[in-house]
Amino acid sequence: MGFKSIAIATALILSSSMSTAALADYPEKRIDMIVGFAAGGGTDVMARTIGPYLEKYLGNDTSVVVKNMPGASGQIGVTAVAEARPDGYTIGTYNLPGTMARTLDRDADYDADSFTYLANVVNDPNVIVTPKNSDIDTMDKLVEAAQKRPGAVTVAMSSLGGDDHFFLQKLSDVTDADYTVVPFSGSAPARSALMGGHVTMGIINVSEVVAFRDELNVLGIASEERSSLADDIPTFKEQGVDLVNGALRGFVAPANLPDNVKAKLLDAFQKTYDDPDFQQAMRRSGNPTELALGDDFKSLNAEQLELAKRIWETHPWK
Amino acid sequence: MYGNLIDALPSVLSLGNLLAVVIGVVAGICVGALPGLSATMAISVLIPFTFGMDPLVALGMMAGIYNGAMYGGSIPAVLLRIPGTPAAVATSFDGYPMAQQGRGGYALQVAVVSSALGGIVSALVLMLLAPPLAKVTLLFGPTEIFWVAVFGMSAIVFLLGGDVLKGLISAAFGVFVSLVGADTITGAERYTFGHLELLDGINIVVLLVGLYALPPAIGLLEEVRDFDTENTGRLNTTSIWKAIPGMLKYWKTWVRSSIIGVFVGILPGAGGSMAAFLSYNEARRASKNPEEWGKGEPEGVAASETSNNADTAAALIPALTLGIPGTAVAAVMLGGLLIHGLQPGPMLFRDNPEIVFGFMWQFLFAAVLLIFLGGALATNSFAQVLRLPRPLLGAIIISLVFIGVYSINGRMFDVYLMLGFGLIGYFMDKLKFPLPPVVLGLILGGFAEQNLRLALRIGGGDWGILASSPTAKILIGMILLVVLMPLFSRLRRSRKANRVAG
Amino acid sequence: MNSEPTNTAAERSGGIDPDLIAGVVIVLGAGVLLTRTTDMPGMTALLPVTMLSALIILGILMIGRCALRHRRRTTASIKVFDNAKRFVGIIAAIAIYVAAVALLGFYTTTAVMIPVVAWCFGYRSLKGVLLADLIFTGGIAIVFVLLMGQELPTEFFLR
Repeated sequence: MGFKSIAIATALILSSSMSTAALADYPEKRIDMIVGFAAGGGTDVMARTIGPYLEKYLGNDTSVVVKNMPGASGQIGVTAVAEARPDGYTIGTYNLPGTMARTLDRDADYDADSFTYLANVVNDPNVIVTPKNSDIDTMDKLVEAAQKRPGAVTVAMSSLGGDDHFFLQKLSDVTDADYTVVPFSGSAPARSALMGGHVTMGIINVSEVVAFRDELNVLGIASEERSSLADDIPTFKEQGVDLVNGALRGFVAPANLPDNVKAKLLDAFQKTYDDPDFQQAMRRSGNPTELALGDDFKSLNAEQLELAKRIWETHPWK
Repeated sequence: MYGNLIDALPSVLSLGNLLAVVIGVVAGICVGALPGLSATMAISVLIPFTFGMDPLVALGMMAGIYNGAMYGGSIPAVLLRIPGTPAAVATSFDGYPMAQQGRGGYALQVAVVSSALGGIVSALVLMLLAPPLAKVTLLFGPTEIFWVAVFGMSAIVFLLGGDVLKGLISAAFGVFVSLVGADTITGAERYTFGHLELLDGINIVVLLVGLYALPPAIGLLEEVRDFDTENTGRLNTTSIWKAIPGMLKYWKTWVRSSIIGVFVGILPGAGGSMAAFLSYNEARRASKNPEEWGKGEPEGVAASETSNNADTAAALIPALTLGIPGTAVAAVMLGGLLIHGLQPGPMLFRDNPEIVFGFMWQFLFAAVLLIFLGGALATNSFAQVLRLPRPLLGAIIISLVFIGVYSINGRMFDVYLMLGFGLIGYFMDKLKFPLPPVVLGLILGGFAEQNLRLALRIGGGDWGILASSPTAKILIGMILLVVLMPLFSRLRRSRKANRVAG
Repeated sequence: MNSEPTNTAAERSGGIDPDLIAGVVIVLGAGVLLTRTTDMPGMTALLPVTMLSALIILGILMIGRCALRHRRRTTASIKVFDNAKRFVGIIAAIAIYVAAVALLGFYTTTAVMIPVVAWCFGYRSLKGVLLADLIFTGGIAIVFVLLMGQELPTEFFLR
């Protein structure tokens, strides 16, 4: 890795001499938006959708260029953001609870203080689904089945240490029952196993179920209010089960971003979010939006980290 | 539903969309034909670029690249014994010996006709049978997929080569490589040595390029490699249309390999290389002269090439209907759909029929175009490239290998990894360790393990779950048949020989 | 198991059987990797342990076979290096190329590497070398920079 560090050092020396001068006119060159996943994933589509709007509201004819740095379920990209220079020309996508959970179950070169929290844009609540021909088609029946024989209910989900896993832990606490986790490494395989009836129930996100409403029973959605993507799905709260959880996707910059740059970026995110065209584009790509800007996002992150810590300490998953 | 198919046709026939398919096929053949570059890499490079393009133009190019690359991969496999794509490994078994005998041109003609036929069958299946076949996919839970992987592994037996001991070492090495990365079930790290880049496992392209493309490049520069560019460079081709009647005798292989390719395609995660290995095996088993295989039997090329193209469109059936891609390339293509806001699932067929069915037509056109574009034109020009002076060719391959591996994830780490595999591959080649078991081990090892463990979790640790469903029972029966049949026939033969002797 | 063609002529009695070296490397490599499975959870370690143990057993069998062959004075005719000096040169060239790409950028390095390597390894036609260099590097640049906007390691003078 020697070459790489030398290369980085050279790059740093070369570029640091150029850009300390004028931060007043941010942005004055192109902005790299680092995405920790391959082109075509949900996070990537979000980044590419928001790019043109940010360009518009940041002004100065700036360009926002998406750079994919896939690998280690987003960790490579997010680490690159944390280690980038805090000048506003490198921002990146950010996934919760995954990014924070990785600081617990892996060696991560970043922590919650490594970032300037810009905006969380997507909140994709969890849903519980069962096969269409399953007898278990309400929460009551599910809880009954789970309590009758511990571990008899098999739960398909995408991975351990993600939002679906944390949701299951909450469910397990609330319903006082044990479930068997079957992590399929991806929501789509989990959903297919469910449609084939190979597992009892599944935990996925609402955006992943809207195209499969006729093929699956959806027992409830883990949000405060019903989702605009599918407003016929009752929330768990309505059904008397206190469960709120979901996958969050947003944008961060490296820590210690200059105040004027941060203010400009926050303003651009706010204006983007208020743009009806943007809302429509996000809806078309199946992304349920919900904005948490700046400090709100930061406290949201702290909340998620707390949740991950609690579960990691009581039920470590590896 | 078939009405939608007809309705989608006019938009596909527009000049821009047709041109996209043509460009895609040509680009795909080039990418496949250049050692080091793969379809996975080409499509992942293309995807960000298509954001903001008309969906059918983007998808047409991808369909073209996919089909083109699956055939293009056979060109260096035949002429240089460097499979251009993972799925072309089985093509080199008989294709390269044919080239050494001066029949390289015929081998490529067989490859292009077989590829086109496989692609056409696959596209028709996708067009006409996608919904029912998606139901078949759903029958395959972790248990069943585990058995399919075991079935694929049984092919290793036939790939071991002359030295069983070395063959087994190769296979074990391949399986071991498949285990590097985060354990797919618990996320526990295995042999990542703290490198995030290894967490997702080792990409098949990195291994393949290292094992298959780098050692020949070294050999070219060493100026000792035994390929005779005089011989392989001169293809002696007759017109492809005159050659086709002579190939009709392969019809049984074409039919069988198409079915295998389509079947493997609709299973999530298996992929074109498994299809090619399986169908090569089945074709050899059915052949009257199995001992000729591996020494230049055109039917081997036909089997491998038919099924790796029959896999292409079929792999999109689970991708489009369920969001689970049937191959690595289909996985990347799924990204190409998502980037245009096309969410896989039943709704896709209802909401965007003109795009989905248009995409299917494009697959069909791409397969048909293969014969025209992949025939004399592309094949001969690549044969010219391979006639370059060896040191120059070696230098160019080294550079191509770099591009191909770097561009998959845009990082140097994969390049270093590939160089490591290149060294291993060089010595394995010299010490006569067979390489195909490594590839098969990598494809199926971790895949089988993951599904076995998922199945056991579903069964609550009870191994009985492995034989619980009817589909699983059928698969177990098939495996027993395949493994035991040769034993029985050998037994019968020896008994007959004894009787004759006694 | 001795089905491979063996060469009874002890023409190269001085060298060590390459299979022997390979066997030792396999056994040692697998052994070292095996020690790293200890901190893995049970099910995670199962298949790696199985595979590594298999490799060790197979490696030992291979060493045994070499010993047997040695006693019978039959040595497999395996020639590892046709030209060891060249091999080292090639490996060095590849290593320098990759390192230089990371340091100096892709196009600069490639434009230099292709003619130099082709020349050093025996293609002595200045015109041919430069033409091929221009076509190849230029072609890649057209496809990747102009058509696709895809980044290969950036040139040092552009960073």
